[in-house]
Amino acid sequence: MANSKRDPLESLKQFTPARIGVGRTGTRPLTKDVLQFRTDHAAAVDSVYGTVPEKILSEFNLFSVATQVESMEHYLKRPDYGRLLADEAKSILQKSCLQAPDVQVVVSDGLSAKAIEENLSDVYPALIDSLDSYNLKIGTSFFVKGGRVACMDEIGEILKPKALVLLIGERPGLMSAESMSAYMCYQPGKGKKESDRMVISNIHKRGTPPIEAAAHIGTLIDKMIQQQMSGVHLVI
Amino acid sequence: MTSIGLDIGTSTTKLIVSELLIAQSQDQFTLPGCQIIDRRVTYASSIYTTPMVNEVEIDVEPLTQLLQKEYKQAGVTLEQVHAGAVIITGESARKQNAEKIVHYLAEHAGNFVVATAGADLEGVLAAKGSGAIECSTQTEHIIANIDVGGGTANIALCQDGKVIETFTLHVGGRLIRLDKNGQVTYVSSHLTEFLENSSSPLREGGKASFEQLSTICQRMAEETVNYVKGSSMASSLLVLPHTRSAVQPDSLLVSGGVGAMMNGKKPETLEEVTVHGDIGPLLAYHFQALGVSQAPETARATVIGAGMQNTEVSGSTVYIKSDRLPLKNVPIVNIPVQQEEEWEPVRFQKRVQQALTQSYTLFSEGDPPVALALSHFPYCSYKMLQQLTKTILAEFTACFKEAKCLVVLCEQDIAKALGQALAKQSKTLDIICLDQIDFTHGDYIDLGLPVAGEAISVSVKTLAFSS
Repeated sequence: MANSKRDPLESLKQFTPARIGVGRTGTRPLTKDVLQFRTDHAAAVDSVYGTVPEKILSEFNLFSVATQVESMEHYLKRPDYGRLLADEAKSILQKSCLQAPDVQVVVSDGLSAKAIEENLSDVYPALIDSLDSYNLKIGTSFFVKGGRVACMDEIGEILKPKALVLLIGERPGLMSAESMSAYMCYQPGKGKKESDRMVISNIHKRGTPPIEAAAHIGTLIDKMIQQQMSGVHLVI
Repeated sequence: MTSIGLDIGTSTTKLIVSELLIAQSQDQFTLPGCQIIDRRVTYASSIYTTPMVNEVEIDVEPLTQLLQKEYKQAGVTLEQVHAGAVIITGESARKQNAEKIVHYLAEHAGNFVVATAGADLEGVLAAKGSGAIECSTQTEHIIANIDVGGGTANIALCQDGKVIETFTLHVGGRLIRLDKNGQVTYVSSHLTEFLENSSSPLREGGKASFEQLSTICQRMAEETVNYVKGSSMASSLLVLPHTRSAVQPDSLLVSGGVGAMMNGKKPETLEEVTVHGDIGPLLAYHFQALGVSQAPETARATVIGAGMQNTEVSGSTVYIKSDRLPLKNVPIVNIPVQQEEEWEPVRFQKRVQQALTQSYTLFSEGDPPVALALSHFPYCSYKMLQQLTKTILAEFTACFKEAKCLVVLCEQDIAKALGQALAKQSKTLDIICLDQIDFTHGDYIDLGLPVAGEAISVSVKTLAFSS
């Protein structure tokens, strides 16, 4: 009986979900690959233009505030507006949020509403459990529509948390349109640099495991608060 | 990290010292991980004849002196030794030997050295040490490593860097011993059936001719090779009953003491055969004559495997809320999480219950009594995590009422979340939860101390000795 020999190309393909070795006909790619490509591209576009279903937000009692972004076109063309909260949002936060908690958790659609839709129900409760296990006082969580990563600085100015976790949809790619990042910063505020922030990226079913990522974020936040710093200087 | 490997076999004893280099992955954007990136032999002892009191019992006193001398020569002190394995192989793996040696080791070999034996593991370690496993990662071929020592031949079939099948045959250089005149001093009882089929049977005290020995060795080598190749499906030499799978290896390597003699020319006279007082050289020649190759590493394959390959590191995101480490000889209880298409909490609960009740009859004394190893772990949602945790805790506390410590192992990167969830639901148990551990080839696990960040060193083994 002959052994079943593996195709060497097949074993190389196992290393990456990238479109390698797809073959061709004449000078063109195969129809099924073109269709797959267009499907993936459409999914990526959809996740940018999509909205996070209200049901998911209400499941975790997250209320919504907006940034100064007026439309999706505006969001894409002017990243700076996504970093600033709308005036109304500021007063809502002042009114409804716990001041100066140990950890503030913020959720934002960013560039992929789909990422929040797919991952929030695993990451968020696991994250709360993890923070609880370190006996950290958790602030009032909320959702920011049209947010960019640096919107955490303005939130930090208003709520003065010791540390902040921002769960935000990542720029979708052709591999995954539902990938989420968790950005973290110790005492976020005006003047914080990118090197002060930390990130766990690629959180989705086929990437960084959502609940394990959430558990690890708790450990990182605890270390930030103990060492009173974040970013490249934090000793992990 | 300094790791020791010690192989006490039927005929020879050898020691190696190796350095394991552990690196934390530097990627800032993902979960941290760490792995052993380099394993290097820094010292290899000479190959000694295993000191024996009689045919079967190892003489511990000279062994002790031998090891003390070797440690000194290697320049290692007991405090420096953080990992390693003592493997007692072949016919010397008897309980009275093993217990004595383990007792001695607790004082003389370093605290973290694992005592281990068992034919399956030997085969795996030899395949790792001989280079067969590495060869299998570089080619498409299935490679069979045949580690022929004094008393047994441990065979491991390797594909893609993994061992896919192991078995052991009573084939070895010292199963028949004789002096240079052909006077037979010892014939292993394991060969009785095999020799009965021979035309001129061999007896202890009788005389053997060169031709007679040559025929026996040739048949022994042929039977081994045919069984390993899968061209014959039965053998009277099998140590344990074994059902040969249909896997046929593409190439065969021989390691072990007999493997080491394969570069020699054909022994022509009884005197040349019996240089070691046994049939080793002749057996080696007949393997060679069948076109089987010599492994890159031969006589020291098992000891290198034991010293360098037996220790692994766990994942970096783990959960350890206990000061009980290090823990030794924790029995592994394997529980598949999801064998069905969908996650079925009720069936999982049944499996946990059954596995724990079964293990309770065997291991109820230790604390932790067992380590729950969760296999077949699918993608795990938060909801599933909650159900999983609840089931494990309920069944564990119901079964092991006295236990204060719960150890959970898994392959997937999930230990921290699982550990936190377990700790949240149980305030009384000490929880140790580790991931990225391959427990497919083991029955017991030793948990060491943290080696890099939160990651700890672990050794999975097949046999535990009372210590």
